[in-house]
Amino acid sequence: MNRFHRILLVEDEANLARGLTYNLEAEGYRILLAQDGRVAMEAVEAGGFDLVVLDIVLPHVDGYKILRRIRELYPRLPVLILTAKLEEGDRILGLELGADDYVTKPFHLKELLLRIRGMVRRMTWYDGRSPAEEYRFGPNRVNFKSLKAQGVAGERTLTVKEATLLEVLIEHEGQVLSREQLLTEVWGYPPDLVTRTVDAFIARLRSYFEADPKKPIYILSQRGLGYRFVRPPAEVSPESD
Amino acid sequence: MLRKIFHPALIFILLQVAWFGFLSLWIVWFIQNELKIEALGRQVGLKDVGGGWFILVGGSFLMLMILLGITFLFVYQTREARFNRLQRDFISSITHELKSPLASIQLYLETISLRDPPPDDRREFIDLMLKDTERLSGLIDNMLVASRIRYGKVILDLRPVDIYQFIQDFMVQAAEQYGWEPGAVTFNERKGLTVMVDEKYMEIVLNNIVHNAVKYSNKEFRLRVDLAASGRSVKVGFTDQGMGIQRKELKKLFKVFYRSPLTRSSEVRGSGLGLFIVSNVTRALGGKVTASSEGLGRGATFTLTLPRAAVQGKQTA
Repeated sequence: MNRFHRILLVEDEANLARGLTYNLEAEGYRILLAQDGRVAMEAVEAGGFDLVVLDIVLPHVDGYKILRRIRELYPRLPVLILTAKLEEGDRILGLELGADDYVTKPFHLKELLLRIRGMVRRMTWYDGRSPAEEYRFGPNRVNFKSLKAQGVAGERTLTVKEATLLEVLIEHEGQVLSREQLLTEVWGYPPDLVTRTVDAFIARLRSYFEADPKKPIYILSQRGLGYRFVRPPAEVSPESD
Repeated sequence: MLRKIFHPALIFILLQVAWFGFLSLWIVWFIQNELKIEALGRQVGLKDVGGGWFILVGGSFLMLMILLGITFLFVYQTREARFNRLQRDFISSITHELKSPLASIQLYLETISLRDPPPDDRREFIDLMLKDTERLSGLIDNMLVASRIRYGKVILDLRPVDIYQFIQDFMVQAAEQYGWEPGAVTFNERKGLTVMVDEKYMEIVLNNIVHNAVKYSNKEFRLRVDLAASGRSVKVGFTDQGMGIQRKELKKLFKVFYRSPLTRSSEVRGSGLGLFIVSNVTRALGGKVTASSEGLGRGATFTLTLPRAAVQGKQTA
């Protein structure tokens, strides 16, 4: 399944890069290694990747700048941040800039490979969906194949994780889903530092689809319990063209 | 913008100016009043009227003391705050520095356990892990030495050492560690220069200088070592072709936890301990270190001046 998937690995620590390349190639991925920020930026401009594993502290250009550029060029491309930066602020910044997952060093190899496999699988799954599948709620429209969304904030392309989270919420319409449930469904299983990851993604979805993200009407918080997706009673039932 | 306007230092200076202005006005007011009272006293034929000059001098002295005290407290607090910020940055950097080799070791151990790699790969992974443990050990050594320096507990075992031979041996090991090609390090052959050093600490000094030269090297790594006798000292210069140093940074480089804005913005990893250790250990050895550079992008030279004095034995710095 993985044979033709290309991963851009951005890691400046030579020893770590060698081990990661070895393992990812053993899993069947094709790896392009960038050992500094400039080379990574050139690789991003050239494109052609199915996933990016990105370190943050890099020579010349830092990982956040690379992430911004990735999101400008490829809104759907899954990005996993792999860094030794532990502070919650760094994690939130990475997720706010559009990363799909965040793993801190040192990490467990199996866990990392599972996450990467999950991200690539989800991407492939969206690619294989019917182009006509469009979901509407209020003035918002989401196409779960192209991941193009028309929201109150304008048109944009969702990342795979954003689309998955929205879809899981919609599938359980009216039902409160805990952060742990969402982490399990969307990210595969609970990451080490849990709750804020979901919160960061919910904030992103609200900014796309809610007229006033501080007073949401579709993606609601249930204090101490989690989140639920609702549609105001006035709205018609979901349409699928 | 608002932060700049309301910067504590600016507010402090404005308050001090206001305070000084108030003091000056009070002195003027006091003198005028004193003169009026004296004039009035003379008119009514009274002698020794007024006499408040003692109050003027005493009051002014007291106010000046308060002013000086507040200034002292402000300077002290500012320094403390700066040191705390540097320490926070240090903890963040050192955590990062420690985690990278640790992550690499864990990755290779799990790889061996998960994949049971062929013998060649296994040997390569073990070598890489050994390099990572060396790196960890170097980092921990640096932290321990820096701590000993701060608490004045560096105990030196001084012995006469042929510095040319010592550096040459060190460079052979370093070449293997960093994978330098032949000719990356050049030095003028000056045998017979004996200095009094503690070999263990001298190695830590060389490690830090060479590690910096590698880390801040822009293009191909090149290092020139110049040895020269200078009176009762020996000068050892290390000139690299790295990113260079701005003139205003030259003195700050040796402060504990200090990292120049350029190194931080170019995301070169570091803890801000290396040159602090170099400077303090060299001083404990009875020598000194200086840095020079022709500017950014034009490399840098670190010169160690070490004593040739023939004092032997143990010494506490």
